Amino acid sequence: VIAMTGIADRIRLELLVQRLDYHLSDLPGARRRQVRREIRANTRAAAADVGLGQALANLGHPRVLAAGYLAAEGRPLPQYRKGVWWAVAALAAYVAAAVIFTTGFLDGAEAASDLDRPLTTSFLGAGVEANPGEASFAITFNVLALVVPAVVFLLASRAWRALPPVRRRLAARAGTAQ
Amino acid sequence: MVTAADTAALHDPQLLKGVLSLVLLRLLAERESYGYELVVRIHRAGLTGVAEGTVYPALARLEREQRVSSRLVPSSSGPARKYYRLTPAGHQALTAATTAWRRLVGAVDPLVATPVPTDPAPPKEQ
Repeated sequence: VIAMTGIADRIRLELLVQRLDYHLSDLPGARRRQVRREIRANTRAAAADVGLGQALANLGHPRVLAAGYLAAEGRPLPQYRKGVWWAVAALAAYVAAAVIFTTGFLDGAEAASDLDRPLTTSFLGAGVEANPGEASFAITFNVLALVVPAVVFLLASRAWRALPPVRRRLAARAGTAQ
Repeated sequence: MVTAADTAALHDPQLLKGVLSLVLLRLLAERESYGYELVVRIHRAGLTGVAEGTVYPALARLEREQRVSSRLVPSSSGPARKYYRLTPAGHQALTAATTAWRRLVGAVDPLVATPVPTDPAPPKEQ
């Protein structure tokens, strides 16, 4: 058996480590670094015994391996990656809804009047300006455009799981009181 | 001689999962080891169905439960290795797990040791 020596072997190992790291994204950064370091060291030792291909196969699928590490934490973790996806989706939906509303508003303005001056209104906190004469519109987003995705992120990621469990805090307080 | 039934038992993930913590604690009670070294020792003990992908998270869980502690040791053949050793809580857990295992074997073994009847008896009358 030939131990991993070439650049190709190092790349194969690093690809697996990075795939594992992707699935570990809900773990705190320091913990992920520990896992990456340990997997690299163990897999290099295994590769010296059985070859890199078999060593990588023995680790199993990175998603399953990551699930084992996440379960080993013994508590529900915040799902930051899920939160980011939902926040992006919420922002896209908010912008799309504002654009759809504004084009409808512009159509209505063009049909209802022959004004040359701009008409203004608002949509869920965003300022909307329609120019019937130029058949153009403008949308001015304010802080709500950030608040909506932020709230969605907090809810979808279950960010409160990052806080110490309430039960532990209550137990610590009871212990201090005694 | 290892039979097909023996081989199947040594690869049954459900059976192995239940005893993995006990095996790891027992091996670490004998000697401080890093992850892959433990895998090799488990295989040498005959439990060839235990894979690396099962052992490494199990070690992480034991460390979180403070049954093992760890330290990094430089290696001449690569990156530093994470060595695990038993803590006092780990020793207690090993004693408890060993007792539980012996009780389980003591209860199950007489059941499975008797010959399996070819024709099950009819139910007892109420």
